[in-house]
Amino acid sequence: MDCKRALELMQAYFDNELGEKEKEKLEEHLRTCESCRREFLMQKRIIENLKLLPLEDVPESFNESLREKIAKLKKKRENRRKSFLAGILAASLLLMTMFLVHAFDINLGKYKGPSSDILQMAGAGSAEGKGLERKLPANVSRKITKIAYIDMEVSNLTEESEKIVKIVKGEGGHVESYSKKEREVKLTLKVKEESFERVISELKETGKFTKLQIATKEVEQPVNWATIDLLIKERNDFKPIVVIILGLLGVIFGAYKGYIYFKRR
Amino acid sequence: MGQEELLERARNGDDEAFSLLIENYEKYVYNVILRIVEEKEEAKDIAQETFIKAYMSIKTFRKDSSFRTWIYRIAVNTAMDYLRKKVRSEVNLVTAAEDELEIKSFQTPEEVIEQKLTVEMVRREISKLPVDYKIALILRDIEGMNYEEIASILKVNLGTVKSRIWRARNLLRERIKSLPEFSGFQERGRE
Repeated sequence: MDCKRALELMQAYFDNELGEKEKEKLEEHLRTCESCRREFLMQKRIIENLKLLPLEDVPESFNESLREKIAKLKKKRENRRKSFLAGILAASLLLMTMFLVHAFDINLGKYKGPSSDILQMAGAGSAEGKGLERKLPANVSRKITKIAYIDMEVSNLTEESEKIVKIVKGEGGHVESYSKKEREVKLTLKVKEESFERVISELKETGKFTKLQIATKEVEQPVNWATIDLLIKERNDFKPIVVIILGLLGVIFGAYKGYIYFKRR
Repeated sequence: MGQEELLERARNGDDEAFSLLIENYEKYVYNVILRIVEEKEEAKDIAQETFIKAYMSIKTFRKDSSFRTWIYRIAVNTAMDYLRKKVRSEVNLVTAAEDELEIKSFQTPEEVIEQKLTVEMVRREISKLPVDYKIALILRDIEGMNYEEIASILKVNLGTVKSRIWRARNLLRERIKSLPEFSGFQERGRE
C-alpha cells in the first residue's frame, strides 16, 4: 500500500467505514511507515479534540425570550389573519356593491315603455292600436299618428327635465303628464306631428338615449298631435369610475393582504 | 409523554408540547450554530430564529425524516443565511482578536493544559475552514452524526458528504501541522 492510499483509507477508518481486510492493510502500513503513522496520530488527536470541545450552555434568558417572541408572533399572525379577512371582506363588499349597482341599472333598463295610465292619459290605448280600434265607434273617422317611447339618461335630472319641457313648449307642444320618482321622471309629451322628429333630435342633445322606439297609433280626428313617452333617469356618475376603482383597490388590497399572509405563514 | 406524542400535540398547536419537544434540542442546536457563526449573541438569535421557524412550520414537518434531522437542517440553513449576509470585515476583526488570545494562552507547557490548548487550537482552526467543510465536520466529528443524516440535513448526496468531511480533516491537519506552536507538540508526539 502506498502512502497516498493509506491517507485516503485513514478517513474511512475513523468513520468505521473500512472492511476488515482494508483495516488490516492500513494498520500494517502504519506499523512500517513512520510518516503515515504521524499523520494518523495527528488526525486521531484532532478528531478526539473535536469531541472534547466543550458544550456551551444556552444563554439564561433563552427560553424566556423565545417564549416572548413566539407569543408576539402568534399575536401578529392573528392580527394578520384578521386584517387579511378584513381585506377580503372589504374587497367582496366593494365587488358586491359594484355588482348591485350594475344589477340595479339592469332592472331600471327593463322598463318597457309607458305604463297603461300614461297611455290612457295620452288617449293611446295600446301601441298596436288594435285595442283602440275596438273601443272606437265605427262611425268616428280615424287618423294615424306617431308615438315615441324613449328612455334617456341625464346628468342632472331637474335641470334637464326643465330644459326638455322648454324644448317641447318652444315647438308649440305641451306636457300631458308628469311624474317624478327619486331618480327618475316620467313625462308624456304632446308635440305637433310636423315637429315630432325635430323634438326627438333635440332631446338627443340633452342626454343619452338608452331606448328609442317609434310606433304608430290610431286616434280620433282631427287630432294631429304625436306623443312622446319619455323616461328620464339621472345618470349615476359615481358608479362607473369610483365604484370600479374602489372595487379594484379592494381586490388589490385583499390580494396583497393575502400574499403577505401566506408568505409569512 | 414520548417524543411521538409531543410531536403530534405540537403539530396540533399545543405550545406547551412544542416547548417540551425542543427542550432536548436547545443546547445541541445552539452549540452547532455557535460553532458555525462563532459569536454567542448571534448564535442565540439564530437559535431562537431556528425554533421560531420550527414553530411556524411544525405542521409541514413530515415524519419521513427524524425531528432531529429536521431541526438541524433549519439551524444549519439559518446559520448559513446569516453568514451569507454578514459583512466580511466583521469576520476578520473577530478572527484577529481571537488569534491574539490563543497565542498568549498557548505558552503554558503542562501536559493537561497542552491537551486543553490543543482543543482550543482545533476550535480556532475549524473556524477558518470553508463554511461547507466546517459544517460537515461539525456534524460528523462534534455531533457524531452518520453520513446519511448529514446528507439529509445538508440535502446533498453521500459522496459529497464524505468528500467534504475528509477534505475538511485533511485541511485541518495540514493547517495545524504548519502552526509554529504545534511543531513542539509534534516532536514530542514522535518520541
